[in-house]
Amino acid sequence: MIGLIIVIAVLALLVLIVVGGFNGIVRQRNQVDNGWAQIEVQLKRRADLIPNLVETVKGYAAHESGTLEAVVQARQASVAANGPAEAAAAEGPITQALGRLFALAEAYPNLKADANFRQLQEEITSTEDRVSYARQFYNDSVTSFHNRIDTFPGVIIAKFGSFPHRELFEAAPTDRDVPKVQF
Amino acid sequence: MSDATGFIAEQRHNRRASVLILAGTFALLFIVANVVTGVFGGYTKETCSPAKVLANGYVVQPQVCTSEFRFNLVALIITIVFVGGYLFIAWFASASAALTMVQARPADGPEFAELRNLVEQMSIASGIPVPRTYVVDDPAPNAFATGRNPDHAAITVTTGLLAVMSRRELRGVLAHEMSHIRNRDIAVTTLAVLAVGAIAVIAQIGLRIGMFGGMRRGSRDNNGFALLLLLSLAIYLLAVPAGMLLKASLSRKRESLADATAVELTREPSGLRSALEKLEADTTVIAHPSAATAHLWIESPLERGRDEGMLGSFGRMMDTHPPLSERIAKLRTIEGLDPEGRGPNDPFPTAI
Repeated sequence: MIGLIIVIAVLALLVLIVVGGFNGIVRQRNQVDNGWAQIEVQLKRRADLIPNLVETVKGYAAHESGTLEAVVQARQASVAANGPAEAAAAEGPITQALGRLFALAEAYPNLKADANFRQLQEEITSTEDRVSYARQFYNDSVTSFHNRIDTFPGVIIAKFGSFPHRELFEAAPTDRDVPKVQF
Repeated sequence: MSDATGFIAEQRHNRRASVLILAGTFALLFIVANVVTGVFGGYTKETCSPAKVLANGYVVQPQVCTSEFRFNLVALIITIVFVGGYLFIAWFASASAALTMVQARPADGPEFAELRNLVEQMSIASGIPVPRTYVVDDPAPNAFATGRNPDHAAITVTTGLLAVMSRRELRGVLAHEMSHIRNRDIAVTTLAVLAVGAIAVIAQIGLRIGMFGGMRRGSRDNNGFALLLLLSLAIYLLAVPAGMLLKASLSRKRESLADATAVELTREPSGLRSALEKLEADTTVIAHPSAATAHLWIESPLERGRDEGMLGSFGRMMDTHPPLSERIAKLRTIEGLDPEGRGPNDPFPTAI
């Protein structure tokens, strides 16, 4: 009788551990998904702001078409990117192109003084920062999620559901280069 | 280091601290309520030894009664109502009370766009909803966070802070405040503050009642009044200072931790370090200093110019914040700079 009770208690404990562990893994996976959604929101926000910026700069410096074209193309590549790895690869060119565009504004006092331009600059710079903080949160969440499903007992509990590894949003090698600025 | 579960362990630690504070306050209140109801409501257990009466009616020894206190239901109900009301205040009213007390207004308008953007960035980095942002018109640079949980949080900064901090420094300060919200520091420190306040008030009431009763000589419940007086005195002399020390040490620990979390959020210690150095050099005093809200600010608004004499070390034990020099030294060590040195600082304040 006592033996039976012990067996039932141990089984109940096991079930509790597995259920708790499983729920924990699901929570972490949801945090990863939420982190990725946040990156997408910020990328979309930046993509929506860029055409306005390009139009504003054209009003003052239409002949700088090379720099403007680079921004438009980098934006298109970013919008077309699919999934964390591709989106991360598109980050380098767009950050560099925007950096060049803002550096260019130094040479046009009228453009620099334009209220619309300044507002766009604040919004885009801030959105760039948001992308990097969203990336930081996403990558932390992915790492934490992977640690959970790769270590004991998570590695066993994860077998009860489908928990594939996620792609990290990693900076492409070009992203680390300092953008070249030429006047 | 950058493990998101570190925050969760912190939150758990804070929840445990909250439960301990609550349980301690509840127990103390329950004892006091029992004594008070015993004195006034007659909730005492009386045991009388029979009088010794001789056959001729001569009383050798009168009946002797002793009353002792029993734990009773009325006291329990009083305690539950009291603690319930107190929790209600702590949970729902304290944040808006603090905002009213410092005369904060919402940071709307284009001049605060950068501030709102930085707050949003930090909320993204910490994975919590964007808190409401408020501004206080005050030349002293300072900031604080309120709100019982991340869904009801608010960050308040002074206009003085916006005037002297660069974008990077402001981000460091906001990251520090965001860490308080994310680690749920506010709930636990608010509880500690209210608990110490409630205990002090109860001890006061007990002292008054005890002294009043003690003066009415010959009253039947003299024992009760004496006991109440002793108990209140003990609470006043032991529990109140102990509570204040606990509150201060808890608050100091939360501050150090928020500095560490801020570095984790921004991934650069230099912003907050540079901001703290500016706060250290600044001598403007906050216009509405109040002990009730002192623990909230990033830099204590109260403790300027305190002399480091005999009472120095005791004074430090009662501080709500670790000394700025200590906090700066820690951040400088992370950066690989000389902990005792100062600078480099960002020279230019933000555009706002």
